Amino acid sequence: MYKYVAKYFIPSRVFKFCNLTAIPTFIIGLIAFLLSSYFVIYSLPADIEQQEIYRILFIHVPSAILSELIYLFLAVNGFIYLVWRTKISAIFLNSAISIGLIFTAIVLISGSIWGKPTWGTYWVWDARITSTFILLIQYIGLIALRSSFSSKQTTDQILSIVSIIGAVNIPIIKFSVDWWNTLHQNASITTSGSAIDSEMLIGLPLMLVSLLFLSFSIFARNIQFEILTRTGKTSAMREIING
Amino acid sequence: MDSIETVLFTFLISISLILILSLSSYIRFMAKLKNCQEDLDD
Repeated sequence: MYKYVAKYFIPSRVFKFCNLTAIPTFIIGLIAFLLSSYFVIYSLPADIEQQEIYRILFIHVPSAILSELIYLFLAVNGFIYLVWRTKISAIFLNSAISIGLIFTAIVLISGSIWGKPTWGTYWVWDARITSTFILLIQYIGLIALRSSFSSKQTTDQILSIVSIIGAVNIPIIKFSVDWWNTLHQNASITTSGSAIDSEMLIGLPLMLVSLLFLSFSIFARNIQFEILTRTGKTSAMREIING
Repeated sequence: MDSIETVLFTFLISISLILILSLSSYIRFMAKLKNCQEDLDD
């Protein structure tokens, strides 16, 4: 199974795939973002309690989902790299860190802006916000570690280990609102249903998909950069660049 | 700020951050590609 999957992740093939998809996904993502933004800002009705300000949640929630999923993606790739030593897993890990950092920053910024009129404060050290802030520090730490070692192999090993250990924060973020008394509300969407009106709910997946496309376009460029960085001046390099 | 302006401001900050990262990733990749092509030409 592993060998069957691995043959599709040869760096030269991945480089070519990224070359083909980076620009189209960026264009699709940007158009989808603009349309989704127009829809959630101007078409959806105002909330009965929060009025207009609730619309910030359409950027806050998808960014929160992505910031956590990307960290899990790092941990999974770190694990695969440590177990099977696959070069492409290390490339994926390195390429996703900056994207996770940006989405975590967006979560905290949009949450703060939403918090002022709703909670009366930009910031409070409650469990959900603090654990998300720790996630931001984890991403910054990974970026700092990435440039701290001269050997790529050592860097990949350290990043993999730190990513796996750091993944313990993801369930803490997710369940913090259940485990502790927090100012942050509980999950609005659960397996038993949604507390959000179905008319408003549609905005969340629309925005999530647009952000996924934009993330992929950045991810593709980062992968291409990492592949070039790791390929010496050999025929492999010629093959990758010339296709 | 009016609340709809606050919403627009938040969306603008968010997309700006994403576009800045996108642009920096693209510039970084193109610079690396240029270096590699020059190395291969030598």
